[in-house]
Amino acid sequence: MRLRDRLLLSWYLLRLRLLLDGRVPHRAMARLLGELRTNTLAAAEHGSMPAAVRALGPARRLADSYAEGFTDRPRWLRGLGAGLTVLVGLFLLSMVCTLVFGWGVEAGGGRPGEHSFSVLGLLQGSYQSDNGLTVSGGTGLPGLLLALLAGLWVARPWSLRRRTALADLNTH
Amino acid sequence: MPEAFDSQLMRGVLTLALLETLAAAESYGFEIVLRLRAAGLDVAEGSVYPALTRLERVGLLTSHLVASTSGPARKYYALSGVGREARVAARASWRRVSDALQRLDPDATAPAVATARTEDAP
Repeated sequence: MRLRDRLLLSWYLLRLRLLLDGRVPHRAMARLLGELRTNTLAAAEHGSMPAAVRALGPARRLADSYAEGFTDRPRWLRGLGAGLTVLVGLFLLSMVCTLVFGWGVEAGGGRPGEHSFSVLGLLQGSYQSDNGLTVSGGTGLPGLLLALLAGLWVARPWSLRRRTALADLNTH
Repeated sequence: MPEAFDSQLMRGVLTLALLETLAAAESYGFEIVLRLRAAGLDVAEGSVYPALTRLERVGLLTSHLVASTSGPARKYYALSGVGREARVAARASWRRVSDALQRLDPDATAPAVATARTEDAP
């Protein structure tokens, strides 16, 4: 194979690899790129390398087609990220609410002591102004459940079931 | 317009075409493309290869590597047990669609209607 042909194929496969990165598991990506190289070499034997590479179409479109076949796997890491984001978001929001709450108590001339609030268990906070200022905020069980739900929603573990269902659909 | 229609239609029947091709004999990617083209289906490599990967992932195809004399080992695909059943089901679906289209074709039904009218006439 001429150097020019080798470079042409390698350049196409490199672009495809970059486009597939993060969308297809690495092991599967290595397998499909190897297979694509073999098939394109076989196609080049029937014509020319430029024609064989052209027949694959734009790298972006091919990457999209390959990635389509991998949308059925759960995205655990993304799910974990989403769950943690919700938790951190709730925590920050509850801190802000607690500060506003404390400011309201002070501005309203509230008596010294502990004041606390809870919004459906999602946002909780307490404000104590007896001896020195103590402010604490956080989230309760409903907040943890909300984070869990968000994580599951993004991770889509039911896609495993859909994959099996697809096989069933094709059988019956 | 006809080309765009062909392309849309091809996307719909590609799975069946692949299952039919591999029912005859196991084969590797580019050879499958050649066999489809030899049968008269104008397919692009860029749609066949991802479709093979997808069908293997859902369990309709199995694959194994076979050493090649002219380069790296080739990945040969074959129908799995589930794939053989899917092929029968897909072919039945295709027949249903094809029969329905045949019934809808006015050119195909016109002679029969015309004959019936002639027979009804006094």
